[in-house]
Amino acid sequence: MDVTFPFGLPWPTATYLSLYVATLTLHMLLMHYVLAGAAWLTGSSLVNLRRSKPAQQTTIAKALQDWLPFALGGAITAGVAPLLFVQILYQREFYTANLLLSHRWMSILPILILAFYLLYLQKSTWLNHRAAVLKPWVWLLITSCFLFVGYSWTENHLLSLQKQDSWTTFFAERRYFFARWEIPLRLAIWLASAFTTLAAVLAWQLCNVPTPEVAPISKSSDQRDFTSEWRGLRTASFLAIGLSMGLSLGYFFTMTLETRTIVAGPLAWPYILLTVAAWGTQIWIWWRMTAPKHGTSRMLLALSAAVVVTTLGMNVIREAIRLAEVDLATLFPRHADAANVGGAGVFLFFLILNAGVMVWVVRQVVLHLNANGDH
Amino acid sequence: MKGLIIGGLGIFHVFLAQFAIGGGMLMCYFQWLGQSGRDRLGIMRKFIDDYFKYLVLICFVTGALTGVGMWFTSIQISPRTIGLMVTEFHWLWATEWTFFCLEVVAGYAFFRHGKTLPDSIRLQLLLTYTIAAWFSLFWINGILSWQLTPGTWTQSRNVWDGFFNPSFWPSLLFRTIVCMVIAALSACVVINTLPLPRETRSRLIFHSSHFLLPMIVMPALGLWFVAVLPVDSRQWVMGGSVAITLFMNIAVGASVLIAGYAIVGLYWQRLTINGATATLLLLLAFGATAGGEFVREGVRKPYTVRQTLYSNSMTPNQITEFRQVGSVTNDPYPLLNEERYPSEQIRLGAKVYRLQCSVCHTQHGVNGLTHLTATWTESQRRMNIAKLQHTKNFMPPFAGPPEEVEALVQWLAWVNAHEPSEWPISNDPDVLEQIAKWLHEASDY
Repeated sequence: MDVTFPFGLPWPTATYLSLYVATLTLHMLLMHYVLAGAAWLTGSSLVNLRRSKPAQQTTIAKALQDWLPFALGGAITAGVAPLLFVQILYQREFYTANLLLSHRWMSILPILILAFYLLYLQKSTWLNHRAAVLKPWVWLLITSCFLFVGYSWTENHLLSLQKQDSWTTFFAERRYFFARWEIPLRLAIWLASAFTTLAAVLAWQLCNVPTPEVAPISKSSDQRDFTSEWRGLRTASFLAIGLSMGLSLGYFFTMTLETRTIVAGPLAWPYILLTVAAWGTQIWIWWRMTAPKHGTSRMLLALSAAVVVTTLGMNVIREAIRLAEVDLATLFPRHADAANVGGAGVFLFFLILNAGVMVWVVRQVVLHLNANGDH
Repeated sequence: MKGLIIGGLGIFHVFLAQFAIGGGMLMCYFQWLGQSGRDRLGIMRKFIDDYFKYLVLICFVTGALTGVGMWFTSIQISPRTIGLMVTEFHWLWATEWTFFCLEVVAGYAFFRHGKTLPDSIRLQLLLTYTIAAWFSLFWINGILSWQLTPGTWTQSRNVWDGFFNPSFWPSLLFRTIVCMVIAALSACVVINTLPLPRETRSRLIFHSSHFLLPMIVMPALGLWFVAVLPVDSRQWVMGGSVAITLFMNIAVGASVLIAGYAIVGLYWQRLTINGATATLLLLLAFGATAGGEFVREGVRKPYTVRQTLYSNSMTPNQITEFRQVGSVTNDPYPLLNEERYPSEQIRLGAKVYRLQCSVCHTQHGVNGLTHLTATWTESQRRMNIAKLQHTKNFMPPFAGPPEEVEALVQWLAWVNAHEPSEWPISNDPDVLEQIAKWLHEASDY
């Protein structure tokens, strides 16, 4: 633990850890959009419900409602890879946590299916025509579903970090929940950081990539004014970054001295620095972008990069906390055995090929839409 | 019992996944018909867009999540099996994931923008979606068929020997046709939900029926699959196991009915089909899928990975070890409600049941041990359990010393006697010696 992640580890372990963190980051970014997007719509629709005359749906709300089902599909798909690599890295720990939580853990599946269909229901004219007043409550239900899934993942993760004695006690006491004070704290950190990702993606959507239902911003003088929504995004982003920083700092000081030493040691401190720098970058960019017209591609790219770095950094820190808890050296032989099986070259080949085809698919569609002025 | 859960979820997921693959193929075919001048009624684009909506709502949501569910369920039921599968094939599983991502991107691109795209781009997107979906079948088929027929992998431990195993190709081709059948039948259901004139509906159904014609080669592929099965597994399909033969017959019978209706009625006589009949045929296809998957799971017994891992997650090496040291000696998890057991021996028996039997057997319910052993005498129980792999050849060998056999026998007797608060301890050295002889006679472990 005296070298920066993932260096200093045997190459199979370093490879699987890197792949795990990279794919988890991809999953997290999409999950952030889903979780924070649903929470945003819940909040805004509940506020709207209190008004005597309901306000028109905002551009952000339209964009979110339109894109959330796809984002959830993407998040689930992206989540398959880290789920695979975690089974290589921490098979016994992960499986034990799954088995101990059992039916409670498995309940995330029907709940996710319910949330997925409710997202489509929110897009349907059926709900809009019949019971518009129901919409905020449906959003609340959707957000609750996502929070429950997030809670369950955090609970499962923390249970997997325990030692055999704790697992035995958990089983013997027939417990269904692994209640820990870290769970709400970790959830709060992820929820806050989810809003920073959401704000960055929505900034793109407002400036450059309008959805079919969202009026595109043109360079002409009659463009719609998104200033108030932009201001909301900025405020949300500042608040979310502040909360993320504060909660993370608080969480750091609640760790045991041993864990804190490892996390703040050579293993993860460059990532702590990187995360803080990326938060700073986000603040600086949002400070500069006071209105949509300031949202140039360069600024938005820098903002997006900062969001990705923040998420990546936080994932490495999360992993460093795990590495402080588990005896990684005992797992090295397992990782080495796994690395001996063939197929890595095939994976790499198809990863590059299929990533290229995905870019080609998107490009084909975008080129056609642009050519026709159709969004 | 737990096996039934994964079986049920597995059948449901396989059905949806095959619909997703076949649906892509069908839409490619319809798109090609539309843009090559064969669509005189000009209905293909509209139908494809409507059909794709169903596909997204069913396969991209429930299909995707039941796929993840399969992983979670497998962990619940046999973590060692899924752990071995992941360890041996994780790079190929990761490769499948790249195709899965491509499938979702191409699928959603079509779903969101297909209506406004020109035919050429629509076909490109549909082809990309379909190829990606079919390749996800290609990869997962290799891993699943390896469980049943690992072939030379058992000696070489080479991933490609395991992947391109004896049942890989017949299974892949068979499943590809199943995908087409499910897509065609579901298309017939969708067609009947759309407000279309009768002529248009008939035309679409006729085109869909083309996807049912490959069923003609299913018997040959099925025979190929049966031919590459290990001898014992083949015997169960051919009548050795009543349950497996019955499910096999359900699968074959349902397929024959669908093929007969499709080829004679829909294709040859160009009959149309109403929503109720189409739904019935689709349910028959579900029944055939269920039967087929049950057979595939069933003929693997007593293994989850042939010659490598038994259905109760024991490896052959472990059985040798457990015969010496005991299977539950190092089990760190206590029994729940330990105080209800009258003696240490009964507690040991309960632990042995939990470790070695409970993955397939309940106490009193489905495949319940008390029902299965109720008529056996005590001596019969001892011998049948000690020689388990000979008692029934789809059972794994007992993995433990004579004391654990006796503990299980006493636990069974205690459960059959409605769990009285007192139970005599059975530790006659002659009995244990006889059990040891039976264990030795039954195997080399």
